[in-house]
Amino acid sequence: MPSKKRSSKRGSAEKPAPKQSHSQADAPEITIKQNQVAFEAVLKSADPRHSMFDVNSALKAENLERYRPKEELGVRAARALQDLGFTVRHIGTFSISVEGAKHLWEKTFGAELEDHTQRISERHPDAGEVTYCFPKSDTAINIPDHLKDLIERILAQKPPIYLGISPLPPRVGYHHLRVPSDIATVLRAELVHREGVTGKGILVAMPDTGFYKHPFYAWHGYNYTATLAPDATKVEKDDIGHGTAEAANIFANAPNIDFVGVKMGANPTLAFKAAADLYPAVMSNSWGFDIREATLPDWLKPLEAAVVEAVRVRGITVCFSAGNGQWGFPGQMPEVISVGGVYAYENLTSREDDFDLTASDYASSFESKIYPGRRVPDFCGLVGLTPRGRYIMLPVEPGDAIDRDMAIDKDAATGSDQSDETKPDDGWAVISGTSAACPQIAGVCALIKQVQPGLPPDLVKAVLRASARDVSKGKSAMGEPAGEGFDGATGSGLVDAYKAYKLARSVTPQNLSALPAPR
Amino acid sequence: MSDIIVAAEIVPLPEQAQSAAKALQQLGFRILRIDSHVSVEAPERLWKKVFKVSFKRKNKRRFEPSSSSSMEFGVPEEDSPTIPDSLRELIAEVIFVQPPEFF
Repeated sequence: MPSKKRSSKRGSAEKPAPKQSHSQADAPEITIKQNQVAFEAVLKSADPRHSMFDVNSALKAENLERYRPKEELGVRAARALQDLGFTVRHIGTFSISVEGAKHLWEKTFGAELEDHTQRISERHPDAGEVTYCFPKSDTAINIPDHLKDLIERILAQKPPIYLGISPLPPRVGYHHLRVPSDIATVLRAELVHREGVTGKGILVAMPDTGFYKHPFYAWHGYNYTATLAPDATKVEKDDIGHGTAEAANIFANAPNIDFVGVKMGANPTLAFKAAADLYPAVMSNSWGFDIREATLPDWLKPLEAAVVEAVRVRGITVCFSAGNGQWGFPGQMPEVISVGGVYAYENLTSREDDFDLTASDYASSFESKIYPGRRVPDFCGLVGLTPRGRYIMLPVEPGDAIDRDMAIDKDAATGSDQSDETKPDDGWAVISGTSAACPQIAGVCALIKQVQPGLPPDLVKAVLRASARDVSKGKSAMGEPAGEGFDGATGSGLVDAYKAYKLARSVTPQNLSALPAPR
Repeated sequence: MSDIIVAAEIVPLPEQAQSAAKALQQLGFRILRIDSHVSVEAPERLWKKVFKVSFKRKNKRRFEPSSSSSMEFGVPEEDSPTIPDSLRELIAEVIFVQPPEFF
C-alpha cells in the first residue's frame, strides 16, 4: 500500500478536516483531534549507567539490550499515566505511546504546548494540512516525582510528512524501458508467464546496498523481503538506491519468486556468504571488483572460495555482472553466469522478427587473465548506452544518491545534460548497466529452476547460452565488436527466456562437470 | 580524523577457527562469522594496537554514474600485518577486504 492510514481516526468537529487528495498517489487521512497531544514515554533502562539519550550512545542492534527496562516497568508506567487521565495506545519494549488533552499535559509536565501546522504532503499540496500540539521550543518538560523511577523522558510526537512516492513511474521524453512490462516483453519472459511459469517457489537472493520498501513492490504483489549481512544495519535504508532499483529487474522476469535481499556492510564476502547460507536456487550479484591482472589478489581469495562453494558444493546458480568497462570479478570466474549488455532499440528489425539489437558500449567484455579460456560475458541482459547507461526506469529510495544524481547530474566529460528527467526525490531513476542485466537473467534462471528444479548451475548456463538471440552489431565498452554467432562483445547474445524455457523442459539434468571431457 | 571501521577475513591455522575467534573477541574485535575463515571488524586503532598495521584513507565511487555514492575506507599501508605472538598459533593470515563497486 502507498501509505499507512492511522488506525485511530481522531476527527474533530471544531476544525474542518484537511482536504484529501486521491489523484496520483493517495495521501493518508491524517486528522488530529484539536487540543490533544501524542507522546512517547521512554522507560528507564534497568541498568542506570545506560541511557539511549547519552551523547555518545548510538543505537545499534548489538547494544539495544543495554537500554532494556526492567520487566513489568512498562505496565507500571502505563498504569500511572492512565491514572493521571492519559490514554495509553501501546506498551512497547522501550517506550509507551500515549495521548492526552493539552491542559492535562501542561498540568502534568509543566510544559506549555502550542499549535503547529504542516502540509500532509509536500509533493501534493492539495492533500491539505494538519495541525498538532507540540511543546514550545524553550520549555522544559518536568516528569512528576512519582514517575521519575519509571520514565526517563517524555517526548511529544509530530505527525509524519507523507512522501507521496508513487508505485507508478513518472513519464520521461526519451526511449527507455519500464519494469516489469518492457523488460519481460523484450526478454520474452512474458510468454513464459503465460505458460504458468512465473518463478513460483524459487528463492532468489541478492546481496546489495539495501532494500527500501518502495510501494512499487507492494503494489505489484511481489514477495520482496530483505535481511542484513552480519556487519550491516538498517535493512530498509538504501542510501545509494542500487539494491532497491536492481531487484525490480528480477521480478520483471520472475514475478512470483520468493526474493530476499541481503544488505551488504563493509565486507562483501560476508554478505555473499550470508546469502548463500539461505541455500537459494539462484543468486544475483550486481557488484564486483575491477581485476585485470593475471593473479587474483590475496584479499579476494576468500570471496573466490565462497563463490566456488556456493556453485559447486551447494548447487546455487550464481549470476554476476560482467562490469561496465571494468574487468568484473567474480564476474570472470568460470563457475558463475557472467552477464553482459545488449541495447534494444524501440523499433523492430526490417524482418520484424526481433527488436533492433546492438551490443551495449556501456557493458564489459574481456578474456580473463586469471582463468585461461574464460570469456566474459556468457550472454546478455538489457543495458543502456554510453555515457551513462540511461535506459531502465527503476524504483529507488526517495532522495538517495542515485535519485538525486541521475536527476540533476550533467556528464562532466561532454557537458551534455544527462538528467534522467525524473525528480531528485521522487523515488524513481533511469539507470542501467550490467547491474540491471544480471538480475534480469537471474529472473530467467528462476523460471528455468521452476521448470527443472534439479538442473545444476552449469546446465542452466548451457540452456541460456544455447537459446540466446544472436546480436551481430555494435561494440562493447572494451571496443570488441559483436558478430554472427558467439562473439566477444555479447557472448551468445541476448537471453531469450521463452526459448530457454522450452529447451529446459526437455533437458535431462546431469552435472556437466561430472561428464567425461569431450573427445 | 575519525576512527574508521576496518573489516577483514582472518585465515586461521587448521582446526583453530573457534580459538582464533575467541582470542580476537577478547582483544576487542567484533566477530561476524566463523567458518573456514573468521570474518571480523574493528576500529583502525585496534588493528594498529594488535597487528601494528596502519591504514591510508581511500575514496571509492560505489556506483559510477552517481557522484554522491562515494565512500571512504581504509587500505593497509603495510603488505602484511604483524601477527602478535599471542595469536601466532591460531592465525595464518589477515586479509583486509575492500568495498565493491556496484555495476
